[in-house]
Amino acid sequence: MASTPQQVKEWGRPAAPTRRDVGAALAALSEEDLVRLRAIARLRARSLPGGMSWSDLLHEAVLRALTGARPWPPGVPLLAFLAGVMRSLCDEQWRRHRRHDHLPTPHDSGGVDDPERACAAAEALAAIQRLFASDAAALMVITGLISGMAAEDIRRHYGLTAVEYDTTRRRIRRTLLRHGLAWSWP
Amino acid sequence: MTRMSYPRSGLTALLDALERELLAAPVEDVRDAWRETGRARNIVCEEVRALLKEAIAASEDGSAATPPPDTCAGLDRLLGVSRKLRPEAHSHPRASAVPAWSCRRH
Repeated sequence: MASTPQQVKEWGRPAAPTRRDVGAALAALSEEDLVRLRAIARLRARSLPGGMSWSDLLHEAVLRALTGARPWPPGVPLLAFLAGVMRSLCDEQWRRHRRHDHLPTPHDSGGVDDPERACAAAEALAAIQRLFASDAAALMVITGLISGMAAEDIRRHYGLTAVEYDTTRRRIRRTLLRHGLAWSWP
Repeated sequence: MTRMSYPRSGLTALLDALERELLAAPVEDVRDAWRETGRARNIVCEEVRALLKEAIAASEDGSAATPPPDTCAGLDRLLGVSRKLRPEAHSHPRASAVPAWSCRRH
């Protein structure tokens, strides 16, 4: 029997990683990757409702990857995939929180009609800015990123040279990693 | 109107950018940050590894009843409400399904 073009396309596609693949990839994560994962989870969990901790968030993301509830796309690095799962879990957690409190779930509103989430976001932004309170250049970059500016726009807007911008980004990374390792945020 | 007027979209833009920074952080930056915190390297790693192992064990326990993607049940653990204590849990159409959010063994 001749194969359909669709079948040929499916066969040519890399197979989705299995649970065993995910488990093996998790076991093979380097110490540096574990630190990155922890820092990302802490960053994302900072503004969540319902007392959800970074470890709850990371645990849930890993579990969903392992069970296949969130399939790991072929070719995507594990850390980037888990970061994406955590990102969407945060939105899910807010939806659940609103549903549990019998509040209307905003649709396509950009969150402007969700005062609790806006307040939590403002608090998280303030906490991140406090991390860089003593670093004027970092605050400029952070403010640019909040405004959705691209690297080149930030540099031009704040008059930073390429070297200044890169060293500032490095300080931001290290500060985030340090706080990802620490017990608490300021 | 700037994104500062909409903290949620501002936070989303910032977190996405910072996440990219963390994912792309050179190994030397991670090691430097490690040194600066003074926290024992093995303690931090063991903490995350234990969490991963816990998730692997939980996935093996619940492998026969994998929840569908983005299912809507099971807020209870997160809000600290026992399903047994919540009357509507019994009448909810998905009450008998595996909760969407897992139960961690603390």
